Amino acid sequence: MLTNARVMLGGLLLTGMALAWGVGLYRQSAALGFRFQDLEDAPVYEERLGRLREMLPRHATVGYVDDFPAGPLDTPGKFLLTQYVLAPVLVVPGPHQPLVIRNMHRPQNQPLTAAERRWTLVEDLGNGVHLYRTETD
Amino acid sequence: MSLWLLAFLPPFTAALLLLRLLGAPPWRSLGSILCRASLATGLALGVTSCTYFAWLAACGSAGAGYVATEALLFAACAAGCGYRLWARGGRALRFAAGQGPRRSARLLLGVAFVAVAAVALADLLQLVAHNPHGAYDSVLLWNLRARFLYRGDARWTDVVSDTIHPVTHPDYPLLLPATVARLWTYQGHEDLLVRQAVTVLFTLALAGLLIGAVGLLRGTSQGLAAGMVLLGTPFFLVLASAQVADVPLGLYFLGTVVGLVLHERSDGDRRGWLCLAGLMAGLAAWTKNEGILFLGVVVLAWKVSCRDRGWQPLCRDLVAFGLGLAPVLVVVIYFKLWLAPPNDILAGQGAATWARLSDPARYRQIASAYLQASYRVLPALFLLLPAYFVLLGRPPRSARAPGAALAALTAGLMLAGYGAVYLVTPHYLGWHLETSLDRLLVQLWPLVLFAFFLVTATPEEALERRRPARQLATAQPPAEVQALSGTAR
Repeated sequence: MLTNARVMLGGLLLTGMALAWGVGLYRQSAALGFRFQDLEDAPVYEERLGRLREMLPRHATVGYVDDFPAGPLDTPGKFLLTQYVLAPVLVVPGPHQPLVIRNMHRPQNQPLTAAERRWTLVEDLGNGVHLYRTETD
Repeated sequence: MSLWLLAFLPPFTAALLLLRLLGAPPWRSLGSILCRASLATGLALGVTSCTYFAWLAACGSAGAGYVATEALLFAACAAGCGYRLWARGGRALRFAAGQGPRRSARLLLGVAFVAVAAVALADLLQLVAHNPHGAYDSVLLWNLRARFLYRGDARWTDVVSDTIHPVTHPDYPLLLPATVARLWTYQGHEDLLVRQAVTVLFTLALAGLLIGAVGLLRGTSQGLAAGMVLLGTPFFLVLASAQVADVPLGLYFLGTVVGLVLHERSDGDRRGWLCLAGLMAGLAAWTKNEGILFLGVVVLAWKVSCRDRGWQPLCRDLVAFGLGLAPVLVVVIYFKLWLAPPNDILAGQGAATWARLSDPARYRQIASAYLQASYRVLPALFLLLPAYFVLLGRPPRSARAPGAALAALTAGLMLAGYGAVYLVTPHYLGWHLETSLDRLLVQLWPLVLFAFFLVTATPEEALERRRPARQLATAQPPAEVQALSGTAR
């Protein structure tokens, strides 16, 4: 009888905890719309920069400057998101390329520097994203 | 039917036939069905990622020619395996585990398992739907590479060169990205659904392999209990939905150990299981850098757990293991030596390494992080499993499965290996632990559960204990493996 009870208790414990943890995760993810950090705007970037990808040569290398704070764990979050969307175009941090993406989340607070004012605007993609040509013909 | 599904079915069928040829049990129990289907899934996805990579390395880009050649290759493999099965008949292992009189216990556990599995599946699908691009790491490491492989034509190598930002870890192996890019090649366009399907497939295969392997060795109810703990671990499901490579790696870790255990449990000359174990170990090395550490660890653990065996038979076994390992190892070596830049941790060693090794604060920090992360990520390890073991106890001596020592030793040595890497890491230690330890623990979790449920009594065995000795003497022996030499087509 005692053995029966122990086995039953073991089974209940296993089932109860597995169900409790599973249901807890479901409720949490349903209520909060659980999303991994810093990827909320991945679909927005796909749409916005997707146009840019079609404009750029397939194997171009472009520079990149932004005013975003570092991403999760100090990684350059928006830079990497840009690289992800534009692949196989290579995106290199800094303005030292013939073509440069300028991605400013507060454009009004980030006026062009003196050097940047000599660049030629190729495309304004909206929301502070611009493609510039840094070399003059 | 989506075209990517057609890309999966031929290699999956060939893998199923190959496993049957190696001596996998026929489709007669839940354990054998799940074990075979899960191993075949891992083999199909892993081997095709190698063929895709080899094609890219040789031809630059993959198109219709690749699809046609690969279709022919797997059709030939399937035909060859089918012919061999027909000609000499498959030699199957038979497992008579847990066939006790207590069917009601199995039925109750089956109902409970269905409930837990349904909740876990709902969790997984909801998380995947909320995060179509996966987690930050998956975008950074895996999905970015898949895009380069698919979109890059001859310049796909940019993503594994030092021209790409180093935070994307260009030296990481390519099993997962090549799998996704290959399916996109069949599909003809990129599709987020493919990545999500690959994630779900690997997760189900890992859960299925744990349930199936424990089920084969210790009975269906024990397999279901192991599956319930794995599927009830919230962080496992979160990680599975993140589209990172840790869950596939867990599948190849477990697949290697299961292959070795099935070899140990079989009669006669069954070196096919060793080839399978070698192949799975190679695929682990092709999934993540941790898999390269695993190669050495699993061989060491295997030698230690079979220490009563002489060197000569062990060397013969190692040759068979090496035969399975070699094709994938060639791919890994080519990638590491000719394409990938140096690994950041290895490149960061030098004069400072000794200072790191002799700093006691680093040891304390790593030990403390191990404990905290284990408690946070795997709560069942501290609460559920000890209580379950106390309640059900150990199995009778005749039913003890030898694979537990191999699995536990492998997991323990891997943890020690990870600890050594943390000790000498050139990165800031707190950051390195915070960004990776949770995932590393989940890679080893299936191995821990496999070992635990081999050394814990099944519900049937626990109930049998109160039967009189006379009845016990006539009870069916659990977990006995017998070789059948007859045909089993």
